[in-house]
Amino acid sequence: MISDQPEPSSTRTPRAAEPSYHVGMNLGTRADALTGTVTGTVTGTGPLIRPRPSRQSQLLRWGLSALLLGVALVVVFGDVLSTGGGRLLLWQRVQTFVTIFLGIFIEAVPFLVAGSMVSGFIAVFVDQTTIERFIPRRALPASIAGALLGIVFPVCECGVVPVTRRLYEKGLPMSVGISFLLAAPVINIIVFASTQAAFGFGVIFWGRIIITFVVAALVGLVFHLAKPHQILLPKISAAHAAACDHTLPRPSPTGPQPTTGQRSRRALTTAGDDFIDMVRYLILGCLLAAGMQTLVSQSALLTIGQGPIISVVALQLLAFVLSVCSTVDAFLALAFSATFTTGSLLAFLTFGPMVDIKSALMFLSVLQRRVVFYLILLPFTMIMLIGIVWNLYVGI
Amino acid sequence: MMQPNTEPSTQSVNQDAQTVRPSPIQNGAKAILLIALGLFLYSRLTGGTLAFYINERFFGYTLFAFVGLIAVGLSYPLIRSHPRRKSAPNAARPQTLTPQTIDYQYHDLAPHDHSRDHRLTLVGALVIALPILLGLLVPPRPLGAAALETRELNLDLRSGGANLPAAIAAVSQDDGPRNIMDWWHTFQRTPDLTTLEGSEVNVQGFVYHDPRYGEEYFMVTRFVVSCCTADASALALLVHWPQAPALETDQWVEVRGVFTPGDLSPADLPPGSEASWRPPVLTAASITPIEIPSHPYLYP
Repeated sequence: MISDQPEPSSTRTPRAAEPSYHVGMNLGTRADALTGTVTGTVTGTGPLIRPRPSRQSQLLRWGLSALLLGVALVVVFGDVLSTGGGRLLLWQRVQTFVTIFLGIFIEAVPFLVAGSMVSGFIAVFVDQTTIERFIPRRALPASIAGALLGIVFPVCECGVVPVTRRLYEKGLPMSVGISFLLAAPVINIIVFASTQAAFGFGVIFWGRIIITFVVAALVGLVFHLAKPHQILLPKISAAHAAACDHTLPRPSPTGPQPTTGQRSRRALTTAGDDFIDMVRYLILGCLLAAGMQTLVSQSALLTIGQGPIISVVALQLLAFVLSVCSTVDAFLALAFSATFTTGSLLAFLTFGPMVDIKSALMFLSVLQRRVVFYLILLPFTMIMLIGIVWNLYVGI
Repeated sequence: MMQPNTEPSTQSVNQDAQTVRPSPIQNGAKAILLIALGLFLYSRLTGGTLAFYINERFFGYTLFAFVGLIAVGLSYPLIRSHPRRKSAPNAARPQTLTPQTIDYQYHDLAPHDHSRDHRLTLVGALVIALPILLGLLVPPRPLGAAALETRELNLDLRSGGANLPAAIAAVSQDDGPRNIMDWWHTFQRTPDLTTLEGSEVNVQGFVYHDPRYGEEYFMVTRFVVSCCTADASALALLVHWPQAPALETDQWVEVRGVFTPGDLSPADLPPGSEASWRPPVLTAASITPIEIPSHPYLYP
């Protein structure tokens, strides 16, 4: 959905060194196209006239998203219309849908703003050499470092995505980023505190941290050998390659160096670009999650979900559907603690923060679709197995 | 996911070293969207309807998001005031652009473009504007009976544990007026519910007619929200009130009355209930319709 528009004008008119912007955003495409048209008609030439790169893929992406949205709306509201539930019932359903949608969105936006700001300031103030100096490159240390990076950047599942993308553009190794993406929503101080507040320093507290750490590090390890262009979206992959390639000439700034104030403003603008890039995925995710909530009966899921094996799967599915922020899901899990097995609670508290509907959609702004699919499947399978084994053989 | 159509290395260097300077229209549109989103959050915060969406302990985060979005949005137009190369394509444009002038240009230029990108990118802007549009088009209303379609109310305290945020159990609140959540807490701590009979009750909630019970019964219901409406779970007391059918679903009421022994006939009980079990029934003495309270949800 992001229009990864190369900006050929920049290759023609090199300018003074500035932090990298995120140029690929669809409004930009529109605005550029507009400018292009006008410039084209009025002046005839100009660097702002962009070549039209394959529009089909963009069209396809938007078409698919619109289709997804349409299907979601039909699924949520269709049965009311077909069974003749009446306009009033439909209206109430719409209001419920909007209230849940805005609830998830308003809850998540501050975290995305914070994450985008962290990303913006990393873009402007953090040098690539810093990452090279502090982040290990060998497989196992890299994965472990990624899983623990959340302690340095306390972000939840919404904030982690822009930060990861920015770190990738600064040359972060693949495995570190993947581990960070999965682990950071749990391995951070805020979530430690909320989990402790809900469950105390018990089995759940330590189990949540350890399982998240192990699963995130293992999945990161799986991706250690993957090449950036196999994992990242092309634009991010190109930036990553540039950051890692030391043979490329480093830009030498000409003219006066920007002041800290100017750099801060640039960081904010970069944060805004990041936010605009990501928030569309967040909105689509919130729409889906709210649609599922308006449609899928929680009590049915929970009634089915008894027993040592099926309870794990049931709570994993619930965590995926609910898309509750990782900073507060411990309180939610408390509600299930009376009736559900410990293994299933651990699965809820570890799988939900790693992937849920909204974060999986946001991953699409960094990673290729195939990789996002694996990032859902691998943690799901591993956590399911851990939860089941816990229920059958540990049974605390 | 398009491949860059320039040579990758050149592209990379540019990504790394030089900012692609976006057009003022693009910047202005982004700024407007960001500021509009911030103002939308602020309007919900000051308008008092934010409590319809999230737990009040997250209000501070919303304020932060407002400030952040405004700051980020304002950083856009100002950046155009930096000196530029003379050969820069936009040199003829005004050096400083306010959101208003950008807005003007944006709307002025829009009708000229009927190409495919126009439609595609309009969708993108609409997606970002969707929360604002939905928020303005659909009047804010807290969750009500319609949300109970997917969240079952259960009066059986033993199997209804899943509906009850157990954080409540950690809170002991014996003083003051008890709300529905406090009463559930009391139920959980009371081994023999018959000892509660005769207790005076004064609770607020919205009306929900559960088809499982007889015509003279309704549920006075509150949602408990620990984070946002996504995690809402419903708690209710069963109320006996002969004029119950006259009460409209979703009407907020204040119910005064006493707990009485459950006099439900077995046919009125939910299927699968044990014959010996009776839900505590609140026999109402008075029912007063009220406005939707400023904090419609209970916080564990």
